[in-house]
Formats: sequence, C-alpha cells, structure tokens
Amino acid sequence: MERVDNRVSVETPEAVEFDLDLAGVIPRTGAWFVDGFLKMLILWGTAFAFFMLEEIGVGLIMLVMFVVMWLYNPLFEVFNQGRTPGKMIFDVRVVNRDGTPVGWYGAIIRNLVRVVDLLPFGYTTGVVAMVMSGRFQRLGDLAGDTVVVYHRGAYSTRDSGQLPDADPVQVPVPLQPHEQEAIVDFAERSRMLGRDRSAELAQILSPMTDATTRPEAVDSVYGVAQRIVRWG
Amino acid sequence: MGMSQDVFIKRYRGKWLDFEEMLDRIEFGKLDQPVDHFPEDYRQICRHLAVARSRGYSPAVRARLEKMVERGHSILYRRSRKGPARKIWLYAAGGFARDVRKNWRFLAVALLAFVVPFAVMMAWVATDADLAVDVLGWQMVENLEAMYGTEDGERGAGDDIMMFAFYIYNNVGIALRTFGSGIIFGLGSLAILLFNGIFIGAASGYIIAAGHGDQFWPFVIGHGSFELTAIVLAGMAGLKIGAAPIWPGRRGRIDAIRQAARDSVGIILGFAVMLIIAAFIEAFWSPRDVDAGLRYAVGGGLWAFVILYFALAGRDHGTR
Repeated sequence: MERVDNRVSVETPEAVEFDLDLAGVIPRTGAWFVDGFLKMLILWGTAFAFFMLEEIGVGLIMLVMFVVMWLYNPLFEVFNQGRTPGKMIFDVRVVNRDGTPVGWYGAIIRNLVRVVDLLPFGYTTGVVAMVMSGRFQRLGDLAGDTVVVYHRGAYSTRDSGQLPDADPVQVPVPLQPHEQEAIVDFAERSRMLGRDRSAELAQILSPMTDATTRPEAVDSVYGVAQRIVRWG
Repeated sequence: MGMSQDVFIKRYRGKWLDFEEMLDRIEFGKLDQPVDHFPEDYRQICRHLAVARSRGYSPAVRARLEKMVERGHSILYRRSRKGPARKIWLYAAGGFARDVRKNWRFLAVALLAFVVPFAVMMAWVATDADLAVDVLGWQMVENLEAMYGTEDGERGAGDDIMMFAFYIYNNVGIALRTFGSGIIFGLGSLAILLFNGIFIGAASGYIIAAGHGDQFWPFVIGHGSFELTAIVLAGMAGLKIGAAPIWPGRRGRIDAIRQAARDSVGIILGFAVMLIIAAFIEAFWSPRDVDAGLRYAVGGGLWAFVILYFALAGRDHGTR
C-alpha cells in the first residue's frame, strides 16, 4: 500500500529500511514550552542564589543567561540522544536525516538558525518552512540536515502482536494480503479504540462473517484475525 | 508459506523484550560496558524485520521491529566523539585561518559592509557632533560622556568579573545572531554589520568631536582587535550560508545550504572563542589605568597578531 503520511524511510547498512515517524508542530511546540519554563526556572534560581553577591552575582547571572540562551539546546541534543527535557516529555528527539543521532554540527546549526525561524513572531517562518519541506523541517533543520522524530511511537507502549482471544474462524472468501493485514491490525488496535467504536467498525464486515449482533461482529473479526496469524 | 505470525512472535518475543530493555539502558546511559553481542542482536532484529515484511505480518509487529531497528541503528552508528583535543588544537593552529582565507570573497563583503559605514559615520559625526544625537540617541551620548568624559577611579575586581560576563553575553550573542540571520540570503548578516558599523562609527566620531580621544582610544584598541574581527567573521559565515541558495553550483539549493552550514561550524566556534578572548581583554586589561603608550603598544601587538594569524597561519600544510 502506498503511504502518504508523516514518515520518511531510511535504509541501514544491513539493507533493512525503517521509517522515521516525523513529529509535527504540536509536540514540538509543547516541548518548546516545557523547555522555556525550565529555562525560566533556571534563571530565577540563579538570580535568587546569587543576587547577594552584587557585581559578581550579576556577572554569574549573565553567564547563566548566555548558557541558557545559546547552549541549553545544543548540549542536551548532543549529549542526551537528541532530547532536551521538553522533548523527552513529548517523546520526540532530534536525529540526523539518516536516522543517526544528531552531532555537534547539526545541533549547533539548527539552534543558531532558530533566530530566523522565530521571525517575525511565534516561529512563523519555521512553521511555513515545516509545511513546505515535506519532512517537517524548519530552516534550522534544513541547514543542519536534521529531523525531529517520535522517539518510541504509539506502538511501543504495549507489547505488540498480542491479539484478543477468540476461536479461529475460517472466512468464506479468500483474503488479499492487505486485507489480512487490515484485519489483524484492527484486532491488535481494538483495545485502544473503545468498545463501541470497535463494534461499529467490525459490523462493516458482518456480511462476510455472518454476525448478527454487534459483540458477535467484533468476536468474529477477532476470530478471523486469529485464523490469519496462526496459519499465515 | 513460512512460519505463522503467532509462532514467530512466540519464538522471539523474549529476545525482543531483552533487546528493548538493552536499548533503554544504553539510551539512558546506565550501561557502562559496551555489550559484545549488541551488533549481533541488532542484525538479528534487522532480519526479523525483513522476515516480518516479506511475510506480511501485522503492522503492529512490523512497527515494533522497526522501532527496535531504528533505535539500534542510532546506537550502533553513533558517530565517534573521540579525540576532540587534538582536533581543536589543529584547528586553532591553522585550520581556522585557512577556513577564513578560503572564504575571502565573503570576508571582503563583510569587511566592506562594516568598515565603510564605520569610516563614513566617524568622519561625518567628528565634524558635526550634533548628528550624534540623531544617530545614537540622547541616552547613548550621555553614556559615552559618562564613560569617557570623566576621569574615573580604579574599579574593583567585582566590576571586572561582571563586565566580563556582560561582554560574553552581549557580544557572543550578537555574533551568533549575525551568523544565524544570514540564512535569509545573507540579508540579516548584512543588516547587522551595517547597523554596527554605523553605530560604532558614530560613537567614535562623537568621541573625537567631544575631545575624549585620550580616554577612548587606549581603552578600545586592545580588545577591538579580537572583537571587531570576530563580528566581521560572523558576518562572513552568515553571508556564506546566505549565498549558498543563490549560487548553489552543481548542488540542489537545500544541499548547498547544508554544505555551507557544515563548513561554517568551525568558523562559528572560532569567532565565539575570539569574542571570549576579547571579553577577557576588555574586562581585565583595557580598563587598567596604565600608561597610554603601553596600552597602544599592547593593542598594536594584538592587532598585528590577529592580522598575521589570518594571513599566515596554516599555510605550510594542507591545501591553500
């Protein structure tokens, strides 16, 4: 099936491809706010701790301001697998476009070009660039050759491949591979969907499974899924 | 037909859980020893992914394997961060100067964009001091009077440290912005260079007109060598990334920006270090109340050092 969504493919030296799940505006904005809040806390903390030291204290506060403004992001990104604390909370990280961890080059460039992504207000330039780039890259990402991706992704929050229990059911019609895939996918994800929504979706298949009631429809689709995963 | 998905999962589920746990430990830095069997395990997961795909196993299983491959790939092909000390030394000893010479065209433009408005404004305001208020504003003129118009006493060590921090915060910040704003076709860098040329030129002109030169020049000559050069170099690097999409050569435009940005990282670290040196000179040497002749001599020496460094360093090895 052709994919038209927020993923880019990377081929490893082992000749296996994997997709990077690109992170969009929402988690990145969230991460930005968390980092902004933390930076403010750090500044207030130093201001509180050092203001009694008079001139030396003012000097220390200015050094901390410098570090927070210019070094916070690159240092976290280089030494913490592409993740600032905000990005950790929103489960995203910065990687090179080939999926390898971001290094000094990428981290320095993407964070310096940020001064333009901010313009004229509220990351307007950055968001426009993200929409146009096809990889959700702001100008800093384009220049630094980096992308922001989901770290774990929605699937890894549970032990994948576990299907709801049901007796295997033989379907009366032969199924194409992508149809089998869709049915197994449904069974695996149905716990995330909620009971009513699952039933609604399963009922679409009732002509095939001969199910008459809604719970029965769900069970019979589970059964078909079990049949598929057991006999391939 | 090969193994069914069910059997496949049952057979390898334990392996995957172990591998995921290992990934977590490595990513959170809780693993001090490298794991000998990591590459082997990783390649096995790659094979599992290939198998899962070719047999059309469910999207959830493939997604899980993909995530493991992605994270393993990140760890296995992590670029080495070893031996930075030697790299830094080689760069300071000549690489930096070579990079600057290689970009002499951008250097020339940046230098003109700064020096021309500087010279014009200095000459103009020197002959017409009233103009200073229009360009600089009352506040700045009063500040200049306060700084250079009166004999001030020896200042304390606390002031020196505070000013050192302020110069780093302010000047390195300006230089980094000068570079970063270059990505819009060099316009941001040009604007900052022009603005600083006009402003510093006008301030210097006012000092001359007001007759405070005896206080001013011995103060600025020392740190000016590193500070002004570094700001021009920041402009140079900004123009370089700005020019890349206009004249991309045989690359795509985005690729050209990437390459230019990559080539600029050394220069960025170079001018940042120069500004830290400048801040040190400006905070701890420039305000010292020593003989003006000595200060001119030291300042002249620093200028000679900077110019000779960029003209000559690193010529004996490497290309150019």
